[in-house]
Amino acid sequence: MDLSVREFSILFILTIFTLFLGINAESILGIIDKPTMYIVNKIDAKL
Amino acid sequence: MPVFGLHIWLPEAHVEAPTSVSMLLASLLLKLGGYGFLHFSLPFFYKEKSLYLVCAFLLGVLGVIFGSGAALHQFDLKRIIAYSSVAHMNLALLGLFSFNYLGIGGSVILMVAHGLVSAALFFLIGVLYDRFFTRLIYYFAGLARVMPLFSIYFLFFTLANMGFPGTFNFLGEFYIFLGLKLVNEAALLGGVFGTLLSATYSIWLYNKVCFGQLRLDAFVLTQTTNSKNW
Repeated sequence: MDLSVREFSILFILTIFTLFLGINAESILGIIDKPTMYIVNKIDAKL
Repeated sequence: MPVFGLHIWLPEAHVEAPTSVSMLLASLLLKLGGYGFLHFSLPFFYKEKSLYLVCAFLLGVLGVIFGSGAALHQFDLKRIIAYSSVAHMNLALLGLFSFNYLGIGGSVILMVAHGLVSAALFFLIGVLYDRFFTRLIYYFAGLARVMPLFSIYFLFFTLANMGFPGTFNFLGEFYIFLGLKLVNEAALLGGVFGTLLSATYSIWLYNKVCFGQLRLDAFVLTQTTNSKNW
């Protein structure tokens, strides 16, 4: 009636990803910092 | 990208698609529009931004408010999540067109987070459809008694979808609001109001599906048709 093992596993992986990203937000921000700054600098360079 | 006015295809596509396609559609295809804005539209048309910025903010705010409000009026579970996607992608649009580091970074974060969370919500609705053969919200009530694991996951992803602190969605929405604060406070107010509405329909959806009196016909159907047990 409840979730099967396969469904539980898929949802567990998605949960771990979501929590991992939420808890390690500072590290993730460090990763996306460079490409975001690239875009922002690219926009500023057009001025 | 389901910008307000150009979003009609999204709920229809989700309703017609099977679960796996809905997951891919929500998590990957929607974000391609955001990538296109980020990589091409923003750098290419930066100088002309005064011509379209008001229009972009107006469409974004209307999309956030309308998407969240429309989700409250749906009776198909997939359509509710689809309209939630419309609202979140319009919020990402607002962040992108804030043209600053916080807004653009927040949009990227929100798109990544929404890709995970909306895929999980569509998967959970697919789980319900496998067992009950319907997605109409009228048939669901009290599932917490018979599907406790489902209810726990549904609670987690519903909270994540509304931007609960501790999840990645919260960070994305918070950064977008910080970015909007620097450029347009009216757009910020619209975005915040839409996010409040998103909390409303998320709580309403969870309350409707998992709490209340269990419908016996649905319960019997589950007992007799489902062979997927632990």
